[in-house]
Amino acid sequence: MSSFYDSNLVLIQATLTGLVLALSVQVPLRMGVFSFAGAGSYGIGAYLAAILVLKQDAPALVAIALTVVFAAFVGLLLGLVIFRLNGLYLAMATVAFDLIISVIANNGGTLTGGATGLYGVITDFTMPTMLVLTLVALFLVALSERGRTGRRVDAVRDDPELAASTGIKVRRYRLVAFVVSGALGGLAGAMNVLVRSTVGPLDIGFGLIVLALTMIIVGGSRSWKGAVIGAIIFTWLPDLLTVIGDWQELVYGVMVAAAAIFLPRGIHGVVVDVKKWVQRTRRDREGVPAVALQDEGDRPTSLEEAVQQAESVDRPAGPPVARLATHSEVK
Amino acid sequence: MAAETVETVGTPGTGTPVLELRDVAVHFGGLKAVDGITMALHPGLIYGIIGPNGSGKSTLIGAVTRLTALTRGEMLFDGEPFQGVSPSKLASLRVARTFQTVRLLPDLDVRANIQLGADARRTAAADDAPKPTWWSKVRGDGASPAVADAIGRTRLEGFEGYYPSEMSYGTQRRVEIARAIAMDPKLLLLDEPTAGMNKTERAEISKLLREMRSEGLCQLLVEHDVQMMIDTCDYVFAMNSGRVIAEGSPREVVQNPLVQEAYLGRKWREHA
Repeated sequence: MSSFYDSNLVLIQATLTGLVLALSVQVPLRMGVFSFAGAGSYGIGAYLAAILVLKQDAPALVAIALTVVFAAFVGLLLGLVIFRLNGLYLAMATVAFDLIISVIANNGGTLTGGATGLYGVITDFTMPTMLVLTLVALFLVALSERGRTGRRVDAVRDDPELAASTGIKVRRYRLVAFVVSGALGGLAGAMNVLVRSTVGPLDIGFGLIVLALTMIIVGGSRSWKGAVIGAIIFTWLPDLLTVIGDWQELVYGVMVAAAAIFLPRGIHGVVVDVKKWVQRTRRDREGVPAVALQDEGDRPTSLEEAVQQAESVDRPAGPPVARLATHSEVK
Repeated sequence: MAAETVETVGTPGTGTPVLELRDVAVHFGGLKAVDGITMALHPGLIYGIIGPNGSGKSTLIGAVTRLTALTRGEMLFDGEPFQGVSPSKLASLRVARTFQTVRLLPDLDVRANIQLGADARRTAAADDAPKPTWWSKVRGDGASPAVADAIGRTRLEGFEGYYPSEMSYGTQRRVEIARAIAMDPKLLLLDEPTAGMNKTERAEISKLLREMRSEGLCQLLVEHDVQMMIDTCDYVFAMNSGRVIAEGSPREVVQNPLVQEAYLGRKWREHA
């Protein structure tokens, strides 16, 4: 165990940062907000944490806390600017945000280290701290999928109009999605730079969006469990595929495409469907509940009573045209 | 069944109306979808709106639920103007609605779909349920009594664990109504609640609506089925081209020549 841990420490750390990054894209998606700003927030997190450590000698946890708050704040500002956009346009705007962060990183002079980035970010950040932070983030996201919040998030995603009619402030939920996405992205970036001690413009580019999306599309976009599955698969898979050499990119691509086509709700979606199927089969064996039976008291017990009841119904004495439209006379 | 109440109509309530519309109009460019509607709805009565397709019924419901902006006019709820409030605020005023097409959340089972309505109640009116702890709130498995009550009233016992895709259209509609009831509304707007239901189910729904009427609920029903209207409503407005062309007891309205013409066409009246 210990030797496995030692030889795979980098992959384990990458799984945790990958998971938090995936969550930063999944949380808005679950609310129907097509935002990929999580990747940009990751960039902000990585650079800000590195700068705080290098220039201010900040301890790891202080750097992370400040970074998360700042990235959440940027998320809020971004949300306020673009929350009216929808679908593809929203997605494009957030991709543009991610690219802007990359450009700033590349051209930030000595502050960001330009094309070479920042290195030598050494702190007291340890693996247990990283694990705890990841678990806390995961726990909070998992909570948001349950109970009242979970139902409301579902409503905001599937039917905003219905959501509003049941008293849900849809706009506020969508803004919260940007803030949470910012905080999670910032956390992922900060943790990554603190364990790897270096960050450059290439680490925060477009590839992050692809990675996060791949994780949640294959893992499952509706639950934190999907993000966990995806993060594990796509952190470890490339490493396992090295044995097939030059073909690994192709195999990787085919697997992602196959998952997108055949598992539209990801691996977690399959598990959910199987669960529902088992539930349904068990239920069918027990029999279907009786549908909308009238009160026994209302039901005629004899033919005379039935006729009497039928006659007692107040029907229009008007012209037959009006009666044509009545339902009860259509047999 | 409803015969005893039909005779009392023509007096559409007294006191402060739950909902009052004054010269409400919604125009889309040159199209006058709703054009000067005035009505006052009182507690404990069921009001109906009939009218051919495109007569402005659904636009009117949209205006009342604040999804469509008014061109002119005034809307009052319990005597207070509300044309400025957001659609989500409306739920805390205890206005509930159902939609013309079934709108249930596909990933939630029947109980959770209805709970969505009861959730609104927590923020709005005092719930008779004990105040939930934050933990039970996030866990959300303690279905409130409002849900059990709504399930009982709509005869959905046994369907609690079903998902919308596993039920018939009529049963789905009943879940929608249950969700609205779970909000403990003062005003319930029902947009064709019995479309897609069989005869027994229609009778059930009619009975349920009358039961809630006796509890003081004010209901506004958009309905195509004339028999359902006659069995259920106390007072009916007939709309055509955005205006009210007739109002009164269901029987009066149905027999009104203008209504028959708008609904069925001139040919039918001559035929009659």
